Amino acid sequence: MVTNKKIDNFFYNAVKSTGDGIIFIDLKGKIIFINNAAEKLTGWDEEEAIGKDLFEVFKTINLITQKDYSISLESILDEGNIEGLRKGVALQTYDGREIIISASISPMLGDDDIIQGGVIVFREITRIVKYEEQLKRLSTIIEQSTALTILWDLNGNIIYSNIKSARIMEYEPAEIENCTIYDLEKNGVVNKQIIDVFNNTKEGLEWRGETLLKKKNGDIITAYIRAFPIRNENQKIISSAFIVEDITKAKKMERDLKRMTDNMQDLICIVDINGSIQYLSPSNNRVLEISTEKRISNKVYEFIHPDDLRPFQCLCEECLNGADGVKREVRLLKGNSSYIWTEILANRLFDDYGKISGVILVAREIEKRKKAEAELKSAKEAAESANKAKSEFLANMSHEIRTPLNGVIGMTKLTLLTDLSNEQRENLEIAKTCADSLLGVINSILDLSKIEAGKMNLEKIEFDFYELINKTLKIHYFSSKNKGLKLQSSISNNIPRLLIGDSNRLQQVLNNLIGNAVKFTETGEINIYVTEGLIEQNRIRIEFSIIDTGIGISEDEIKNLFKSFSQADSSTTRKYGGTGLGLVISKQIVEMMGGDLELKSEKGKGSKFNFSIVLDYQNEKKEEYQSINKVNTFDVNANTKILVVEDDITNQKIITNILKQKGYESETAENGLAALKMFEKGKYDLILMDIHMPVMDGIEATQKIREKEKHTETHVPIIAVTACVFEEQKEKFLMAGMDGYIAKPLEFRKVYDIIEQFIFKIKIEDKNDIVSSNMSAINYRTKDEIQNNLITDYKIILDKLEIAIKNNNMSSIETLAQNLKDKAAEEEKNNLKNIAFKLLLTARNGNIEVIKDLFKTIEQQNI
Amino acid sequence: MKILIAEDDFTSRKYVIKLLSEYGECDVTVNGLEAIEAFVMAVEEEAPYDLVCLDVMMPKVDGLRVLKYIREKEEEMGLDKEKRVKVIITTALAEEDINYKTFTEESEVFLSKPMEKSKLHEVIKKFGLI
Repeated sequence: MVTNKKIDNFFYNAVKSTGDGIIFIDLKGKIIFINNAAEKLTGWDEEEAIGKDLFEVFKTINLITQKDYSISLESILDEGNIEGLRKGVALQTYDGREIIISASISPMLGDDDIIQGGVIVFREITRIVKYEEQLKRLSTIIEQSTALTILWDLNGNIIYSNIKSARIMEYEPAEIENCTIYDLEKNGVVNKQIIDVFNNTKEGLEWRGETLLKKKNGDIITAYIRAFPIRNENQKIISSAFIVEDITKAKKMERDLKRMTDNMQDLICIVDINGSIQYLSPSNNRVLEISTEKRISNKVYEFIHPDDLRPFQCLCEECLNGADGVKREVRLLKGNSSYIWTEILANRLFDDYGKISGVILVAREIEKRKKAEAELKSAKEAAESANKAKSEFLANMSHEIRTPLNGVIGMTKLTLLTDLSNEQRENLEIAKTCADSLLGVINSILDLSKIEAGKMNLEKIEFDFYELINKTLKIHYFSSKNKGLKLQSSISNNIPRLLIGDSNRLQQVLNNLIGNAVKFTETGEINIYVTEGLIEQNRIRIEFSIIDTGIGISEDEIKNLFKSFSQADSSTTRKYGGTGLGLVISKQIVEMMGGDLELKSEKGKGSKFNFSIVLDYQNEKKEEYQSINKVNTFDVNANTKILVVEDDITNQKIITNILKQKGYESETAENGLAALKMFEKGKYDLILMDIHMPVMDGIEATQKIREKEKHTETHVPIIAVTACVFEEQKEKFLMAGMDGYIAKPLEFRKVYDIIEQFIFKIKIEDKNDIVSSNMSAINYRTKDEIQNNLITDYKIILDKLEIAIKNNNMSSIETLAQNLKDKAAEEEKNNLKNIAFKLLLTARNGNIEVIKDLFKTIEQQNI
Repeated sequence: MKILIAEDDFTSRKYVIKLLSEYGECDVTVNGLEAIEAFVMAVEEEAPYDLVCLDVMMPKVDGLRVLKYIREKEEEMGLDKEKRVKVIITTALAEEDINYKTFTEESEVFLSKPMEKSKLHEVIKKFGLI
C-alpha cells in the first residue's frame, strides 16, 4: 500500500524529473514550482525562479518582430481556457539564447473544480522546426524543378507528383491525379519498358536511362529517367520514385551535332591532358583509314609523323597555355604506314569547373595544298635559276654583241673621216646613229642582267655632288632647249659637297629620268628639286624630284612601267623609241642605294618622279661645302678664253678660226708640256686638247693639269680633240680627267655646241640657300623650227617651198608639203590637196625633178 | 612602174626607197593611213600603183590592215584577180613570228627585213613587173 505522503512524493519526483519543462503558477501568475527540465530550458535556478512572475522566467518573444510575446493569463486563470504558443514564438533563456518550443498553459483545478493556479508544459522543438523548414524548401524545389518527379505506391498509384509532371506531358494535374502507372501505359503515355522499370524498383533495383514518352497531343518526347525505390526505416520498400527529364531538345542538338561531325571533311579529335584520345569523329575512317574504335584511348602521339612530333607538342603546349586557335601543319598516319599532311587547329576544352580538361584538335587535310606549295616552290626555284641563267647569258651575250658593234661604230666613224659623197656621208651617219642606239639598248640590257644576276656592285668613291648635278644638267640642256622646254633646277645647299657613293650610277638614274622628262614633254618645263632628307652622323638621305609637264601616264600604266621591257603602251615605243628598260634599271639602282623610286602622274598633265638615296659623307669635310658659293662661276657673256693644244699648224689655224667666228679668245700650245706651262700662267675657261702629240700627249697633260688643280680647287673643262672615238678611248679620256671629246674633222657647229655645253652660268643665290643652275640662252637653230611655226598663209608656204626647192632641202619640202596639204584639206580644196600630197610623197624619195614639176602645177592652181 | 611605199622607220624607209627607186617612181608614206590615202588617190586618178611595199608594224593603221583595205577596195571595184596590185609585206620581226599562210595569194609576198636586193629582184620578176 502506498500512503498519501508516499504518493505525493512519487508525483513530486515524477513531475520534477520528467523530460518536458513544467512550471506551476499561482492565481497571481507567480511561479510556485519549476522542474529540472524547465530549469534547464529557461536557464533559471529553482531558488531564483520561485516567486517570480511567470513571464519573467518563461520569457517568450516573437521571432520575427523580436518583441515580447505574452499570453493572456486571465484567459487561463479566470476563464479556464487552455492556451498554446503560436508559430514563430521562441523562449528567451536566462543567458539570452532563443529556443523554439511548443508549450501549453492550462488551468490547474482543485478538487472542487476551482482553478487554483496554472500549469505550463513545454518542450524544445528547434530541430523539428528546422526539419520542417528543410522539407518545405525541398518540396518547393521539387515543385519548381523542370524535372518531372513522381512517387508511386507499390500498386502504381501516384502518391506525389510535382505540378510540372503533368505540364511536361501537357496534361492538367487533375487529369492524371487518379491514374495508375498501368493506366498511363494503357493510354500510351508510357511504354512497357517503364512498367518493367517500375516493377524492378519494387524489387529494389535502380535504373537510369533514356526512353520515349508520348504527350497528350501525340508528340513523342525523349526522356531521361532516374527510377529508384524508397524504403522506410526498416528498409522495406514502400514506394517507387521517378525523376523524368525532357531531353528532346538536347537530344536533337546532339543528333545534329553528331551528323555534323560525322559528315565533316575535317577530323575532330578530343585528347585529354595526358594525350589519350577521348573522341574521334567518324571522318577519321575515311581520311585516315583506321577505324575509330581502334584509335580511341590510344595516345595521340602514336599517329603523328615522328618528324612532326616536336611541332605537335609545341601546338599542344601553346594551346594549354591559353592560346586558343593555334595552328600547325602536321603529318598524320594514314592506314598502316603512309602519312598525309594536315593542318591542325587546337582549342582548349574545359570541365564543369572551368579547369582545362583537354584539347580539341581539328585536322584538315592539306595534301593538295602541300603538293601545290612544293610544286610552286620548285617552279619558283626553277624560274629563279632560269632567270639567273638568262641574266648571265645576257651579260655574256651583251658583251659578245658589244664588241663587234663597237667595231661597226668605230669603222663607221673612221669611214666618215674619209672623203665621201654627200649621199655616202648621209648614209653612214644614219648607220652610226642606228649603231649608237643599238649600243644604248645593249648597255641597258647588260645593266639589267647585271642587276638581276646580282652582279652589279656600287662603288664607294668620293665625288663632288654639285659638280655631278651640274654635269648631268648640262647633258640635257641642249635637247630641252631644242624642244623649247625650260629646264630648271633647285638644289638645297645643306647637302655636303663631297659625298661618297657611286656617282656614275646616280648620274645614270638622273640621266634616265631627266632624259625621259625631255623626251615625253612637248611644251612647258622640267623642274628638278634636290633636297636633303634625314642627316645622320655620316650619312645623308638626298631626295630628288623631277617634274615635267609632259604627256603623263595613267594610273594603270604606271604599274607596268617598272617592269622589264615595258613602256606605258607599246605604241610609245614606235613614237618615242627606247626599250623601256631605263626606268627598271633606275629603280633597281635607287633601291640598291637605299631608297625608292616612285612616280606620280596624270595623263596629259605631266609626271613627277621622286626618289631618294642614302649616301655617306665625311663629317670633318663638311665645312668644305660652304665654299660652294664661290665655285664655278662661268659667264658666257664675259670674254671667254680658250686654250687650243694642237701640234699640227694647219689644224691650229682651223680651230682658232672657228673660235674667232664666235668671238672666243684663244691661245695655242704645240704640245702637252707647253700647254701645262701656259695653264700655270694664264687663266682659261676651257682647253681643247689634241691627244696624239709629241713631247707630252693630251692624256698626260690632262692628268698633270688635274693634279695641279687639286691645290687650287678649280676645274677647267678639258675637251679631247681626237680622231679616235672608240668607246673605250672615250672612257680613257674621261678617266684622265677630261670632260668631253670632240671628233676630228671638226664641224663648226659641234665645236660651238660643246664649248657652250661646258661654259655656262651657275648662279648662286645666297639668300634662299638655293643653288639654281640657269643655262644661258644660246642661239641654236634647228630644222624643226619651221615645223613649230604654224604657217597659215599660202603665199608664205609657197615662198618657202620655192626656197626649199632651190636649196634642194628635202626635209623642208616635206614639212611644207604637209602644211600645204593640211591647209588645202581644211579648206576642201581637193585638187590642191592631192598635188600637195603628191609633193609630200615625192619629197621623201628626193626626186627633185618631179618636185619641180609638181610645184609648177601648184603655182598654176591660182590660189 | 608606180610604186607605193609605206614605212614608218626613217632608216628602213631610206633603205627601201633606195632599192625600189631602181624599178620606178616611188611615192613614200610614213603610216598606214597615209598609204590608204595615197592608194585611193591613185585609183581615183586612174593611175593606180603597180607595186605596194608595206611594213607590218606602223602607227595608226598597220600594214596588214592596209592590205586588207586595198583588197576590199579592189573587190568593190570588181577587179580581176590578176589585175590586183602586187604587194610586198616587210617586217623586222623574226621569220618565225610571221604566219606565212596569211599571204597565200600570188599577188602577195613576204620579205623579212632587211630586204635582200637579189630576192627583191626575183619577186618583182615573179610578179611580172619587169
